[in-house]
Amino acid sequence: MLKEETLKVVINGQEVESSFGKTILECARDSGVDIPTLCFDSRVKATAACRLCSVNVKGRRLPVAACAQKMEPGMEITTDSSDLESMRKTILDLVVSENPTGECVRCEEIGPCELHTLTKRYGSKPGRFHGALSGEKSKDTNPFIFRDYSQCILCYRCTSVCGELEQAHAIVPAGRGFGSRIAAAFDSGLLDSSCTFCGQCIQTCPTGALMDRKMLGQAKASEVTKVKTVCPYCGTGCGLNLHVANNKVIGTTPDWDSPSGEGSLCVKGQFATDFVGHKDRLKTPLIRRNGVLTEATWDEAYDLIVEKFTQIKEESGPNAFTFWTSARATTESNYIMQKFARAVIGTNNVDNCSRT
Amino acid sequence: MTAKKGVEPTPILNALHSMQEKEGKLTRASLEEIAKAHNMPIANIFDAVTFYHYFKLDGDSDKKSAICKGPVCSLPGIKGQDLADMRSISCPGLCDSPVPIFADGEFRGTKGVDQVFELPHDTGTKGVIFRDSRKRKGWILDEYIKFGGYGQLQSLINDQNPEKALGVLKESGLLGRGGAGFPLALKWGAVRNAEGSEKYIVCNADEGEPGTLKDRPMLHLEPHLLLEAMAIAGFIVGASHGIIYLRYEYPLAQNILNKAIEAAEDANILGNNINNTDYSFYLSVSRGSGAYICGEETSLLNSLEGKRPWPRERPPFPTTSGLWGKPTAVNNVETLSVVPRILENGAKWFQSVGLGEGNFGSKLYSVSGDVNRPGNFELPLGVTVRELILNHAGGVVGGGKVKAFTLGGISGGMLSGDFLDLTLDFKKPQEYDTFLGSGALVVLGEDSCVVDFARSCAVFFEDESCGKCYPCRIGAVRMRELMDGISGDSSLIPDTLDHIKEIGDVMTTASACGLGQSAPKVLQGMVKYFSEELDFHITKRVCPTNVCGFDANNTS
Amino acid sequence: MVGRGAMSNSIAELKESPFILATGTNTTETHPVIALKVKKAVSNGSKLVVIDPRRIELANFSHRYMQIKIGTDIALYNAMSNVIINEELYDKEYVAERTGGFEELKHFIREYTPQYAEQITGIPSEDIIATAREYAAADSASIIYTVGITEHSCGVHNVQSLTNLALLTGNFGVTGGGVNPLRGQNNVQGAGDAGCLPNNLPGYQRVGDDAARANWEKEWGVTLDPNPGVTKVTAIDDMILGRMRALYIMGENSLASDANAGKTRKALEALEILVVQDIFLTQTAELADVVLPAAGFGEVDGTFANSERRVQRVRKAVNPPGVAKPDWQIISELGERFGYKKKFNHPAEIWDELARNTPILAGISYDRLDFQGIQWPCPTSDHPGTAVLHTDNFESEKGYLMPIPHVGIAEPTDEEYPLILTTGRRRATYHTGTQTGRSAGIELLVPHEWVEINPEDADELKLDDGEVVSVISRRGRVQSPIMITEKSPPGVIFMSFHFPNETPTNVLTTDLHDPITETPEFKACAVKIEKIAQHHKNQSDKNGTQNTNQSLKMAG
Repeated sequence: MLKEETLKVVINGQEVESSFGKTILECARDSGVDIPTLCFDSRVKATAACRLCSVNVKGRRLPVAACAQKMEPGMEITTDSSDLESMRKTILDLVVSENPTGECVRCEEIGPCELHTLTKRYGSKPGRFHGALSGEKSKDTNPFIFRDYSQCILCYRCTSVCGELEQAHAIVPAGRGFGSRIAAAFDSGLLDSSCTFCGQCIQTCPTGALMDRKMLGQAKASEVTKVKTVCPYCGTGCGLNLHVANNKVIGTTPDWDSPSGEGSLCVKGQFATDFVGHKDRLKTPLIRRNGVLTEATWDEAYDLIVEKFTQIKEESGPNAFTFWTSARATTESNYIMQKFARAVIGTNNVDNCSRT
Repeated sequence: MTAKKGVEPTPILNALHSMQEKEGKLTRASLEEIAKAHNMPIANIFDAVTFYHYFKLDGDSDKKSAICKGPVCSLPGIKGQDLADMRSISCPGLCDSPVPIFADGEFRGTKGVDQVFELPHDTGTKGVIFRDSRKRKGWILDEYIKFGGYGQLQSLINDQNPEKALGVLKESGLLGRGGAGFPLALKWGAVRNAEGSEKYIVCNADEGEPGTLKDRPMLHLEPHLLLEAMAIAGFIVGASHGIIYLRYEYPLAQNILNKAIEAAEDANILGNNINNTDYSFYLSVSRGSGAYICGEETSLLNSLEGKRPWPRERPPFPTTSGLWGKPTAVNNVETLSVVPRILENGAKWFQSVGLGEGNFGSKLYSVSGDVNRPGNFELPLGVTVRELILNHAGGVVGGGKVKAFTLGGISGGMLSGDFLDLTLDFKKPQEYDTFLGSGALVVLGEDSCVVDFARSCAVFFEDESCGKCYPCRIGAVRMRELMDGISGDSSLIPDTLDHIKEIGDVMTTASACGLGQSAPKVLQGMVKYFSEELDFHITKRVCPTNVCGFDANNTS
Repeated sequence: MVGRGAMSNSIAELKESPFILATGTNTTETHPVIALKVKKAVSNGSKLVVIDPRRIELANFSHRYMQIKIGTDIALYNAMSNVIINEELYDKEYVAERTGGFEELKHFIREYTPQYAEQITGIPSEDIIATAREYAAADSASIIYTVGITEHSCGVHNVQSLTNLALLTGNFGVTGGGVNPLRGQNNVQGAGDAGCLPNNLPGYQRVGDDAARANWEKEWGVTLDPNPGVTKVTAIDDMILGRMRALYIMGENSLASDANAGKTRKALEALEILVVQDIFLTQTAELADVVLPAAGFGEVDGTFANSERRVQRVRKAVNPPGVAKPDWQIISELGERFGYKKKFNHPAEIWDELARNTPILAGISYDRLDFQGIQWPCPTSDHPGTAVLHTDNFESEKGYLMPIPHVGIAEPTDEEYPLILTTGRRRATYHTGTQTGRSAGIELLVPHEWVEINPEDADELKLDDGEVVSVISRRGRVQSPIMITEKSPPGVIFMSFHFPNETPTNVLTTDLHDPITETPEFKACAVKIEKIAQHHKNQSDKNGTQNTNQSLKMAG
C-alpha cells in the first residue's frame, strides 16, 4: 500500500526517513526535532491557529504550518532559522498581550502550563505589546470545570477535543475575530449543555483558562506528587495519575501512556475520586453488640470471627461457608481471599460479582 | 412530474435566513429545529450563527440603521457629515455611491435603487462581458438567448467534447479574476481528473473588499451569462450542481439570480435533462450573512456547509476536497462570465484583447475614493494606473494630484502617486510588493490623510478577522491600536513604528490565509512611501491634512 | 464456544475496525472511553450497527440501528448465520480448518430465516440481511457487547449464537475483529483470573483437574476439595434453607446490587455470621455481625486486569483512614489466627505466588508492569503479551459452532404485569453509588433515579413527565419519578440501581437465571406502574422518593 511507503526529506540539513500521510510536525518530533506549538493536540485535526510551528519549506514563498502540512518526498525543511525563532517570539509576545498580567493559577497549583513554559523559553514577557485584553471569567457555576477565559488564548484545543474526540459538541468557538470566545450553545453553563464532564478540555488546555475546580485551592504545585495508577470504575482500565498533597487525593489527570485510555477519562475517573478519604469511610472494625454495630479493635473482630467460624466448621464442615470477593479490589486481594476459602477453610464456595 | 431541482446541496444558510425573516430573529427553538432537521449539534449551529454580522440571535441588539464607515466612505472628501454616532456596517460594495446606509434590511447608496441596473462606465472599448449589455436586457431570458445566449452550453452538450473546450480555455490563458490569478483551465482540469462521481461548481459572489464592486453589475445585468458559464463548467468537470455563494449585501442579486434560474429551468435550458439530453445541471443561490472572510474560498465552503467559516488548511485543495469533501471548482463571477465568450470567439481572440505580453482578455476595474467618476470599468488587462484613474475615472476630485492609490481593494497594498505608470496586471504590481487582486483601486487625493486611511483599513481588518490564527486575530487589533495612537485617538505607544513593522511581518508571513497576510499591506505602504507624513503625526502630533483628530493638548 | 471469558481483542484496536457490531451495550454510558474508540472508527469511515431494545446514544453514531425486542437476541444472530450460510458468505477455508459443527449448524439454522426472525425480534428482515452481508464482507468485524447479552436467563446461549457469527466469518484471531465482552468493573477480570470462581482455581484451572489441583496443593501445603463450590445464586438459596451458615463478603454491596433484593435480605438475615469487609458502611454492611474496615483504591498496591486482559499496576497514593488495612493483609492476618502461617510483606509477593502457578500469567511481574500493563496470556518473562487471542488455535483446538434455539425471557409480561423492566447504568454514577454518591457534584448530573418510559405508555397510564410513580413486580415495589423519552420502546421501562437507599431497583428484579453461569436476568422482568395518590404527586423530584426506605423494608 502506498500509504505505508517511506519517503525521504531533509530537516535542518539532516536526511530523515518518514512515511506518507505524516505531517511535518509528526515527522520532526519522530526524529527528535522539537517544534513549539500551542494549539496542537495529536488526537484531533490540526486547526493551525497558533502558527508557532510554522517552518520554512524550500520553494515555498511563505512558511507553512508544520502541524497541518503533510510530508512530500524531497521536502527540505528548516525549523529553527533565526527568522522563524523571532517570528515565534513575536507571536508569543502577542499572545501574552491579550491576557492580564499576574500569576498563573495553573502554574502555581497544578504545574507549569504550556503557555508559560514556552514564554519562559523564548524570553517573552507581557507588556511589550499593549492593548485590549480578550475573554472574561465565566459565570458558569458547574462544580467540575473552572472556566476563566481571561486566561484563554483561543487555541481551540478544547473545542476540537469536545467536538471531534468526545463528540459531545458541548463547547464551540463563538463570535469572531478578537471577540471570538469559547461557549456552550447560547452561552449557557455546562450543566445546561451536552457536556459529559469528561474533563478532556481541562487536560488539553495549555493555560489556566480551564482547570479542575475540585483541585483548585488545595495545594501548591510543589507540594503535589503524582501517582500513576488505574481508574477504579469500569473495565476499560484507563490509566490515570492521582494528584496527592498532604496525604489527600486532590484530583486526577489522565495517563497519556495508557494503552486502553490513551489519555482519555470519563466523568467518573476524572471527577469522582473524592470518595477516597471521604468522611464516611470505615475507620475501625465494628462488631454487632446487642443488635448495634459498635466500634471494636482488630483483635476483638478477629477473635469473634475465629470463634464463630471454628464452631461452624466443626459442626457443619467447610461447605457451610461462602466467600464473595470483589471485582473492585486488587487481583492480589482476590487471590488471597480464594486462597483463604480453599486452603484455610477448605471450601470452593467462592464467587465474585462478575455475574451481577 | 420530474423534479426540476435536485436536492439543494447547501440548505443551512438559506434555512437560517428564512427563519430569521419569518420571526425577525433566531430563537433557541428555531435553531434547535434547524439543528434537528440537518442533523447538526445545536452548539455547532450556534457557533456558526454567532460568526456573521447579519444573523440576529434572541437578545442581540437591533441593527436598525447603520452606515458604512469603511476606508473609502471615511475619506474626508466623501464622508461629508459627521456620522460618528451611527452604527457601522462593513463595506456593502457601494463605494461608487457613498455613503451607503443600511435600513429595513436594504443597503442604499446615495444614487438610489436605480444603481443596481447601472452598467460599468463606457470606456469606448467593445467589452467582453458587457459586450451586449447596452443592446438588450441580459437578465431577461429571451433577450439573452436572442443574442446567442446559452448557445455555447448547447454546442458543448451537442459536441460531447469537454476536453476540447478545456483546451480552448487553456490556450486562452484565462487567469482567475478573484484575486489569486490562478489559471482557470488548470483548476477545472484538476477537478475533472479528481476521483469521485459527485463534484460541485461554486461561484464566489462574495466580493467584500472595500472598493470592490465589480461583481455587482454582472450579477444584476448578466445573470444568465454566469449561469451558462456554470453549466459549462459542470459539463467540463463532471458536476451536476452549481451553487452561487452570494454576499448578504446584494439582496437584489438574489432575486435576479433566482428568477433567472427559474426561467432557465422552466425553459429546460438548465436543470433536469437539459434540452432532453443526458446532461442535468442544477443551480441554487446561497446567501451569506455578512463576513468578509467568506470571500476566501475555503471559508466560503465551510460557510456553505453551515459550519464556522474559518479558512481550511491547504492541501487538500478544493479541487480534490471541496464542498462536503468532494472535488469542487470555486470560481469568481468575473472568471466564469468570460468563459462563454472565449468558447464563442476562440482563444486567439481572447488573447488579443489584453495589453502587453502575457496579459490576456479584459478586466473589470473598480475605482473609488477621491475621483470624479467612481465605478466599474471594463478595460483590457494591463491598462496603466494613469489611464484608468486620469482618463477613465476622470481624475482626482478638484483636479489635484493622486497622492496614493491602493490595489486589490485595500488588500493588495498601497502605492504613492509616483506609480501612475504601473500596469494593472497580475505580474507587474508584484515587483512593488503589491498585487492586482480583485482589480479595485481606491484613490486618495492630496486632501486625504494616508495615516487616517490606513487606520480605517486597520479597523476593517480587525472587524473582519475570523479569529482563527494568532497573527491575524491579535495582530489586527494591535495594528489598529497602534494606528489609533498615531492618529491621536489614544495615547501614542513608544516604538510604534517598530511594532507596526514587526507585527506586520508576522501577519504577512505567518497568517493562515490571505486576509491576515494582506491586512498589514496598506500600513506597510504607508511606512514605505509616506514616512514624512507619518513622522508629522508621530513626532509633531500634527496631521498635515487636518483629518486626524488630535486633541488640543496633544498638538504642542 | 471458543474458550475465554474475556475480550478476544484489544480496546484500542476498535478505532481501526472497519465494522463494529455493538449489541446489548450502552457503551457511551457504561464504557465512555471505549465509546470514544467506536466514535473515532465511525469518523474514520467505519461502519457501526447498533442493536439494542432502547434507542441509546450510540445509535446516533450508527449507520443502522436495529431495535430488537428484549430477549430475542438468539433469533437475530441465528438469522444472520442463516443469511451468511445460505448466501455462502462464510469463510470456507476458516470454517473447514478452525471450526467444528458446521453441518449441524447449517441444518439447524434453516428455519431461522430473516422473515421468521423479523416476527420474533421486530427487526425488519431486510435490515437483518443487510447487516449479515456487511458483517461477512468486512475485512475484519468486531462484535462488542456488555451485560445486555449476558444478563439474561439465556445469557450463555446469547453469547454462543453471537460467537457463531465470528466463527463463520473467520473473525477470530484477526486485528479489528473478535467477540468482545466489555466488562463492567475495574477488576472483574482479575477476580476471575485469581480464581474467585467456585469451579475455577486461579488462571481458569478447573478445580476438578487433578494436575492443577495437585500443583496448588503443593504451593499451599494443603489438600483441596475436587468438587466445585456454589455460586452466589445457589448460596443465597442455601442460606435461606439454613445450609449455608457463614458468609464473608469482601467489597460488595450485594443487597443493593444483586437481583431480587428482598430475597437477598432474607438470606443474609438467616446467616449465623455475616462478615463484611468494605470501605463504607454499605446497605449490606449494615446487616453484618462483623464489619472490617478495608483500605480502598488509592490506598493499596496491587494490580487490576481490565476488559482486554491487561494486567496493570495500581499504586498506593495515600494512607488509609483510621486503622483500615488492605484486604489482603486483613485476610492474611485472619489466616494466621487459623494457623495458616504463610506471611506476605507486599502484594508483589502475592502476585509472584499467583503467577508462577498460573501459565497465562507466568511471564508477568511487577517489574515488567512498571510503565505499562501486559495482556495475558503471557507465559514467559520475555513474552510481550497477547493483543489478539486465537490467532493460531482455540482453547479446544477448534471453535465449535453451536446450534442454539431461541427461547423467550424467563418472566414474560401478562395482564397484571404488562411492562418489561430492564436495568442498567448511567454514565456519571456507578453501581450502588457507594463511590460516585460520595463524590461532590455528581449529584447534579444524576440527582436521583428515573423510570424511563415511552410517551405511548406514559399517555396510556396518564402520567406526566417527572411524576413519581410506584413500580411493582411480583417481588416488591419501589418509587421513582418518571422520565418520558423515546429512548425506551413502548412496553419497556428502564431503571438504574444507583440509588439503593431511595429507589432500590433490585427489589424488583428476578433471580431467575442462566442455568450455566447462574447470572440472573437483570435485563428483563415483568412489572406494572401505579400512580401515587394525588397529594404525593405535587412533591418535587427531590422529595418524591423519600418513602422508599420503607419499601426496602417492606419488600423483605
